[in-house]
Amino acid sequence: MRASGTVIFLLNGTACTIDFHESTPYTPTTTVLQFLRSHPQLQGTKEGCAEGDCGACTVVIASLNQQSELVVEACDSCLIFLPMLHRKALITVEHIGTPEHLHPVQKAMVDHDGSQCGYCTPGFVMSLYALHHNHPESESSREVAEDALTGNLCRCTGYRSILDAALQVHDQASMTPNDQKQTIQGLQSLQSYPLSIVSQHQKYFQPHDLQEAVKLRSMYPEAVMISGATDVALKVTKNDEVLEEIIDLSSVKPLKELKITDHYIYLGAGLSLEQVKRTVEDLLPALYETLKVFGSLQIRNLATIGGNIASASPIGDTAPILMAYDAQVELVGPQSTRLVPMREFITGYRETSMQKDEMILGFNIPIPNTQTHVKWYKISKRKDLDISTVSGGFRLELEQDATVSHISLFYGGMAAMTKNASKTEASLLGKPWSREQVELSMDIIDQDFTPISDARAEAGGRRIMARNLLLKFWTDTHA
Amino acid sequence: MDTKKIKLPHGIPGHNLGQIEREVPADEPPAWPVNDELKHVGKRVKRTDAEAKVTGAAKFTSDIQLPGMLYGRMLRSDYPHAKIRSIDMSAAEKHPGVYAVHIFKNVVGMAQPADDDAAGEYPDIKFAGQPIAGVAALTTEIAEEALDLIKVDYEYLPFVVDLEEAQKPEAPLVFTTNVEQDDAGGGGGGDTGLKTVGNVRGPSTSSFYGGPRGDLEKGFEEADTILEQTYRTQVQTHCSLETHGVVVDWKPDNVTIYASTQNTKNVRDEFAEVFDLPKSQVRVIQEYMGGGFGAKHSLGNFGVMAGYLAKKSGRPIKLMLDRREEHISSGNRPNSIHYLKIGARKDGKLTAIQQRSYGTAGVGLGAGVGRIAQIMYESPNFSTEQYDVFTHAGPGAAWRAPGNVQGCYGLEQAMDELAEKLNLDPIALRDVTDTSEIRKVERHRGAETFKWSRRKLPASDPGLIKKGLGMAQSHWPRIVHIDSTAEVRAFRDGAVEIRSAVQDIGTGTKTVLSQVVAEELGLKPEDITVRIGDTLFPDGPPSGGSIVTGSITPPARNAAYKLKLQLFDQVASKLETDASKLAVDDGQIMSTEDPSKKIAFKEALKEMRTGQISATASRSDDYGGFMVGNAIAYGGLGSVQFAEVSVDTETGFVKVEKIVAVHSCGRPINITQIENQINGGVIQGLGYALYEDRVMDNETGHQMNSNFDQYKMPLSLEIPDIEILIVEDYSGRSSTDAYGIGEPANIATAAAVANAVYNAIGTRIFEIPITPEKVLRALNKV
Ligand SMILES: Cc1cc2nc3c(=O)[nH]c(=O)nc-3n(C[C@H](O)[C@H](O)[C@H](O)COP(=O)(O)OP(=O)(O)OC[C@H]3O[C@@H](n4cnc5c(N)ncnc54)[C@H](O)[C@@H]3O)c2cc1C
Ligand code: FES
Ligand code: FES
Repeated sequence: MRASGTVIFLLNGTACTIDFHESTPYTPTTTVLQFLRSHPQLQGTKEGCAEGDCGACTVVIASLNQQSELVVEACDSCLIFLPMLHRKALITVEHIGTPEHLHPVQKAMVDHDGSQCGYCTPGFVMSLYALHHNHPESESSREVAEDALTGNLCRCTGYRSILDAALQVHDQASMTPNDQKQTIQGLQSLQSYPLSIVSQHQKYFQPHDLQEAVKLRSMYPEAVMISGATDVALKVTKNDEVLEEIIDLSSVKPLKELKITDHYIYLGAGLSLEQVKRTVEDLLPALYETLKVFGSLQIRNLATIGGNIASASPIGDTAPILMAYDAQVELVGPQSTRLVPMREFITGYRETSMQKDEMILGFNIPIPNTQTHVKWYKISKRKDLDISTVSGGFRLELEQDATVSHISLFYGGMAAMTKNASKTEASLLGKPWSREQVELSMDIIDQDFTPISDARAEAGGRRIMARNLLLKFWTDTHA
Repeated sequence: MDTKKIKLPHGIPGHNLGQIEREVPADEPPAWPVNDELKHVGKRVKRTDAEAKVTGAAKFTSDIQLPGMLYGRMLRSDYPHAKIRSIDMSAAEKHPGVYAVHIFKNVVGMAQPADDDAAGEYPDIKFAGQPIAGVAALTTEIAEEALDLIKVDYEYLPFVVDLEEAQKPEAPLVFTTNVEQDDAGGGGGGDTGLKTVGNVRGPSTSSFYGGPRGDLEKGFEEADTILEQTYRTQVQTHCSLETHGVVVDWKPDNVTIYASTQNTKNVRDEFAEVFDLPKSQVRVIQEYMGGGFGAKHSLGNFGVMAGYLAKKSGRPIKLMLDRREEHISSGNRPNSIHYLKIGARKDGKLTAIQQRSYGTAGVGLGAGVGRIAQIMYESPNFSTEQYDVFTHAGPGAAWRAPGNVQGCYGLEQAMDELAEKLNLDPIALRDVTDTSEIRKVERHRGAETFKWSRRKLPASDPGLIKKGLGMAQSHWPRIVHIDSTAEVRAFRDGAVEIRSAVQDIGTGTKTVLSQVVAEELGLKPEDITVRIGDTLFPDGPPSGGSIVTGSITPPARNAAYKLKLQLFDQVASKLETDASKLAVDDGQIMSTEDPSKKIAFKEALKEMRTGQISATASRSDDYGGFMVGNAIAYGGLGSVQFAEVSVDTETGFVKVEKIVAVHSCGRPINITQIENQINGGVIQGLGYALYEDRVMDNETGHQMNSNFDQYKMPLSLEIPDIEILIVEDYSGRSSTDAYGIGEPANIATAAAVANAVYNAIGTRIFEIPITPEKVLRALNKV
């Protein structure tokens, strides 16, 4: 497989190539939204924020999974770099219907008066399109519909009419069987090769196999790796950074591995958070709860678990809970792979113990026994699509007599990195798991953290939140 | 003027519906009966442009692309307060791809010194984000590169961005002389001629409802109970999904402006004035726009800049703000510190209301608390003092019921507290003090639907998650814009069109016009082509103040009526009858005496002497006259909202479970669209109550959350069950008797939620947004 610099994808059903060597107006970090907005006939897709928070730019991306099945997902086009479309199908609002021949989801939006100003409407329509593809039975429950729409902001309608549209019964899936067949054939007809783009100011690699990825990582130690790019894209769109070297890991198959044994779940670093969410519902319910309110569906379809842990943000949501589960991080470098306990992986504000030539391969997560309590809590203003003000990943094991035999209290948002409340933990160990004891220990949290004040909350408020999360943990776990 | 007497429906169906006789101009159409007897008005009619919106075919200003078009960007000050010594544009001007540059000589959209004191060469910088200069280039990226090349030499000055700090004697001054603002959009405090002391301007003590009443001291002496309390609200930013922006296409003999505006007429007039052009040479087009909520009435600095850049470069200029600019410079709902003292007798009758407020619209005027306290409750003694406090922050702008949303948040909590003190049910208290008939009906219909009787004592829910119920009500005046004109045309090929410069900002004006014209002509709404949002057509009202429906539907109906009479004249002889005996129904013109004498409407058009006929009508004065001037009609738009919340006492998370919103807007025209407006208004109110808050950094004077990542608005998951009751309320003041709903929908929500939170936890939170942090603080306070 020879690498090439030509990106090839289906644009509303038709093969489209972009060659960055020529004098295109696009760069490898041009976003799909910028690309669409530059085409007068593709301006149905709108920009509201350019940072993944409004969904006005929602498009549908269809691709083939390893079983050659069609995967149809709504994504925020403002967070996707053009080369990430390589060998995928991009579907925009213009493609699915016309004023004379509305698509069923468009018809539902008309019937329920789903627009006022209409600026958000194309984005909602595309979210609904993906929803109805993935839930064609769609007398779809209100919960599924709400989840599918949490990435779309509407300032006018108050959502009621849009939710009603989402629930309108369809006897028809989004894509007709013929559409699906054509899309699958179209995707299969696209040539398969790794990308190696060298443009005027940038290099962009999209390797297919792990050795190649690791080799590139050694060759370009300063390169930015991306998986879902939901974090990295903001550097470009918000901070105007020029990323000179990029290694796109999204096509490396071993990073998508998923293994479930009796005692462990192994999650490849490149699995999207939505894939992880769907996998862990029964086995790791606290991780499932974390992901249920993580970003929005559009974000979870792109964002990966590896990216979330690697970004080592103090308010990253999966770090506290993977620590509570006592997961291990598997790193791969040029020589070998190694395992690092999750609890030691993050070393500082956006710092990890990963070496310059390593990347995360996956996570080994022990499945706790039924006596172990693992819980996750998040305090934020809004229920969904809101970064945590304070979060907690907690684990508790009790003796027969209800004394604490193990407790871990990992907090996000209380320090420069995800950190456990070690003094508080020590105060509880060996003690009865009682309200009195918990209330005593709540006072110790202040000794564990000196939180900051920012736009989300004041330091004092964070302290109260941290205390109350412990109390909530007790409420949810005491006999 | 010739007049005639007609009988119009009057009152509330199911309550006190009757008729009223009014003397009206002779050429007014006959009275419409109540909605039950109409075909298209008062019904659920599909939005005319829904298909264009769901397919992405609708073209917004941000989608306009013209041949040769350049992209404009503006340099904004990073500093909140500075004098500019010099600006060097030379490097920017030489940057490849740049076609024009321009430096502002003055900036609009903020308060201006009343007497222009020794102004320097460049306007002083008074907030972080104030525009300084602009460039036009082949792409946005090139324009931004060029902005980086502009060298500005600043003399930095101390600044203040906090409402309370700004009132201190040592605070840095925003203005050193008295100031005025023509286009004060924020709300209450925009009176002219008020004095500024330090950073504090005012007080504003009167409104179109008059000035102070009675004797406060006496009033408080007569009271059995006195409530004294202070309420605080935050700064909220509009966050329209499409940012402000324009495309200016300057041709030798005319300028065309595509504008994301809610006021085509005003943008035209402002542009003509700035560039000294005849208004007739300036055309403003707004086909679709992505939300305004009050902030998009003006040309704005961006529009002025685009004009200069277009003039200088000779090319069309597109200038759209980005999300950050939108937050920091394009308007906001000012905050408030709202002091209320209310005296009441045991029976609930109010003896006195004293109100004082301080708020900041940054460098703008208009940070009041509105007129609700003055008008909604009967109190013989009343006074208000509303102060504007200047800070070095972006200017406020009108937003759905300016001032009154802040005012209602305080007043309606005060009434809740008062009810508790008096041992009265909040609804019973209002029944005693509120004389409005419509609100009374709304309160009781709402209470029944909401099952208000299940409300328990505060904090009586035993669990960790506590439920609470609350209600609040509001008033909004019926405002009419008489400079509102519509033209109806009919064509020989069967087409019927209505034309006006009035714009549809998502409220559904297009649809409403098609319904009214169709009703009058006996056609279907889909038979009517609506052409609006273009100043080539007769001037329309601005989309603000819930003015549009009450202002433009009567002329639309009257124009259609006149056109119908013209057509009757033309077909009468053919039908061998008198024109006065003709009527329309179901696409037919027929004799009222002999139904066999008829012709299809479309056939009649084919027979016309000329290719098209046209009739134009402007807004008549209200039947029986206005209450104040030429704008404020008698009566008001009442609303009552009920909220049910649950509060998690461990995480502090407030969930709004249910809202019942009871509203009136005169004669409702499109039920679906009214419901849509109310849903939207309630949800904006929910954002105000729970999430939204502009956070300023006192160290840098910057907004810390000028994005959607940290500035949080409600999403679909937060949406409670909303039940809407629309109460028809006929007053017989115009040929349609219809009014708007945009403002009322938004006023009472935050107060209703706050009252429900109190009922849940038994501790009142006097400041919105009610964040988990504030709830936890309130609960741990003991
Ligand atoms: C609108 C929005 C909402 C969000 N909501 C949340 C939220 O609720 N909770 C939350 O925690 N975060 C949230 N985020 C942050 C972000 O989405 C997550 O951090 C995401 O999981 C990152 O994954 P990614 O694959 O997109 O990472 P990328 O952007 O691709 O990469 C992020 C970092 O990880 C590195 N990296 C990626 N893959 C690997 C690998 N295999 N090995 C080593 N390093 C790697 C990259 O080099 C980069 O430094 C949100 C972001 C947005 C834009
Ligand atoms: S533009 Fe807002 S999510 Fe992409
Ligand atoms: S309809 Fe205006 S933002 Fe949704």
